[in-house]
Amino acid sequence: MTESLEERIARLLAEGLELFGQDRIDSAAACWREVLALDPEHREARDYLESAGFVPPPSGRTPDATRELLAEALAQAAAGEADEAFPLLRTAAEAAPGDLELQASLELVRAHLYVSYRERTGHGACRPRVRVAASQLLQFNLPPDAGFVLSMVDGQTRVDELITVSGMDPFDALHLLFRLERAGIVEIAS
Amino acid sequence: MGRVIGIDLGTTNSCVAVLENGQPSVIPNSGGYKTTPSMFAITQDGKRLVGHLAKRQAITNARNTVFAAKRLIGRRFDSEEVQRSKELCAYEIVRGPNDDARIQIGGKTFTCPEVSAFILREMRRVAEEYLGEPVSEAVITVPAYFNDAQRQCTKDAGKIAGLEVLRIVNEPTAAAMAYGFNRSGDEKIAVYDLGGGTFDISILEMSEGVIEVLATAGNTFLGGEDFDRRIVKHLLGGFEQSEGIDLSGDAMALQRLKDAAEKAKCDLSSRERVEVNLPFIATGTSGPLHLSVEITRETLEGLVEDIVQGTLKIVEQCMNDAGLTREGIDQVILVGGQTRMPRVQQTVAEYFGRRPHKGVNPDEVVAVGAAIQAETLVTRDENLLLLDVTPLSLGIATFGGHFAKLIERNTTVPVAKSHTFTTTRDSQSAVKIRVLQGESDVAQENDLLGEFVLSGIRPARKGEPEIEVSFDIDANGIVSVSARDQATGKEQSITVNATGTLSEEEIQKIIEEQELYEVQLKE
Repeated sequence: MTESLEERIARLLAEGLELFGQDRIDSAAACWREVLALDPEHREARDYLESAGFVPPPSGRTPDATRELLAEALAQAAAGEADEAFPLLRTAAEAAPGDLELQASLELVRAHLYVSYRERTGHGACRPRVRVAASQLLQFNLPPDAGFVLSMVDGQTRVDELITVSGMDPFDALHLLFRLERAGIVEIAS
Repeated sequence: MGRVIGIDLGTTNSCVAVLENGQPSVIPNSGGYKTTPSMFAITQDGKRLVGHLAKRQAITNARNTVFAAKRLIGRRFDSEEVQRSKELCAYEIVRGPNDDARIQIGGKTFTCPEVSAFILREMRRVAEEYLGEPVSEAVITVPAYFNDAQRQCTKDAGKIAGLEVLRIVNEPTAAAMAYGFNRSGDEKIAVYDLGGGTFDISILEMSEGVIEVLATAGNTFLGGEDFDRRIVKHLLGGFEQSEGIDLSGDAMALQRLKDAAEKAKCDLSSRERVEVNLPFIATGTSGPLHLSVEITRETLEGLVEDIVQGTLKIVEQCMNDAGLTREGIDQVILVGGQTRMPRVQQTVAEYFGRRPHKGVNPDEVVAVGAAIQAETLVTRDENLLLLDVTPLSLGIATFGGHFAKLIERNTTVPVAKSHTFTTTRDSQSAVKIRVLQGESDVAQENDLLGEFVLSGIRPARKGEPEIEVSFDIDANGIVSVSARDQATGKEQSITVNATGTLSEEEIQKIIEEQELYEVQLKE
């Protein structure tokens, strides 16, 4: 089930707050900037950015907002945080589908990430397991497709099997799996 | 000589067993499970999945996942069962060149024996991994209701999977063998078999090591999966009521719901209440939504009571066929995973007025019986002679569209009967014999088993030639027909065209295709 724009914004806001609570300020800011890329007038996202000590981009939907998102994404990618860069790039690319540089950057980061994911999962041989108790899961903020991937993590199923039965694009499935790992929900053991 | 295995090729789950040191042993797969889902799928990127992996993506990849191929095997495309399956299945069922039902998934068309062969090959692989040696012979079980074409197609499936099928055995008969193994005494036994997709009831007589099947009946569209569907519907309804969201169109959610429903159903057999928890099942305006519902055993029983009661009507028919009352039954055996449900056990116990025997594992007992039969055939053990019955009457179409029964249903097999036919016109030089299976007096309402033309009859007035046609049903329940001209004593040439079965050439081609695919996978 794909998210609506409202649902996506709600999720990004909540994710940013989670990351802020974990002292991952830059990542939190990235989430809120992504909200502003979707809705440049979003007041809550602006407030959060200011509270975190950042300067929100100017109001109004301008190409500069997209370029700023791209710059932020590339900076994160250069700092080795390709996981954080990808969603920013994807949002920027969706806002500017005719921007060839953006599309190319997106594909480059995606390809780099895919290779990295494959290596980090033992080329699909790892068997992820859930790290948190079922009762603690509800504190997180996850979309349904992440919930679906999470439902297949059982400590027995290999990553390549998980990708196969998910029916999802392999990159999307891996990206979600590593998102769950970053949130501390699953452990991808070798 | 290699080991011989017994395979329960179930509609929903399959199981394999072998005799070790004279004792039956059910073989677990690599995941430790003693049953394997009878499912085959092709993923979007062309991977072929069998068993548990196929089941886990059965809903998200519904159009390319085959289940319950057993309901289609050996049936004509126009049959009621195939047409009903078309309504229920997401995968495509198409007409084959032999008017059989074929399955289209992943851009390819498969025959039903081919699909069943994928399952049998997996069971063979499980056995070989466990035993550490090649396996090439097997006994395979089928529902007691299977007709000739269905049995022949199941043998074909075994052949495609690289197995020589020593015998096709009725499932309740195999269960009785497992129950009667190393036991003695004269008893009449009711075998109530409620599996994942089919229901069978058989009445057996065990006497001095001989098992005779007195009567059998069933429903090929009734099983544990119907119970799962009721639970899923219950969960969907509750979620829509509380959250205002209909999940029935969400494949990912449905996959999770189906898996959770089945687990809840199984857990409720040993517990009074269970929690179904599916976090992040959907997203609402305020954030993620979670499904968290308690289901009690009482609720489940209320959801499925009509299904359970429906099985008793079939039991009643079978008892009438056997000419027995409930008091005449000495033992009741439960077969199939769904019989673990307390309400099913209670209902069966109330009907027969006695508690069902619980000494055998309902999931595994058919495979165990098949393994025992396999060993019996290999060692030629005469101590446990197996007699079975044909579940359907056999006969021919006669003038005026009538059906003349030559072998009544529930006749012990093997059996051979002959009948003399003649011509209906002067100087008639050939006759066409249409062999049918079924119970209707109207020929076209029965299943066409095969037809043949007997040619070269001497010119004579109508009614004079005597053509003796012999019908033979072997121990596998497979029918063969032959003809002889009494006047000349010569065997006349006949052609029997069985519908829905594969030719030797087709089988060989399929075997080569599957082997090629295996080579490609290893590269």
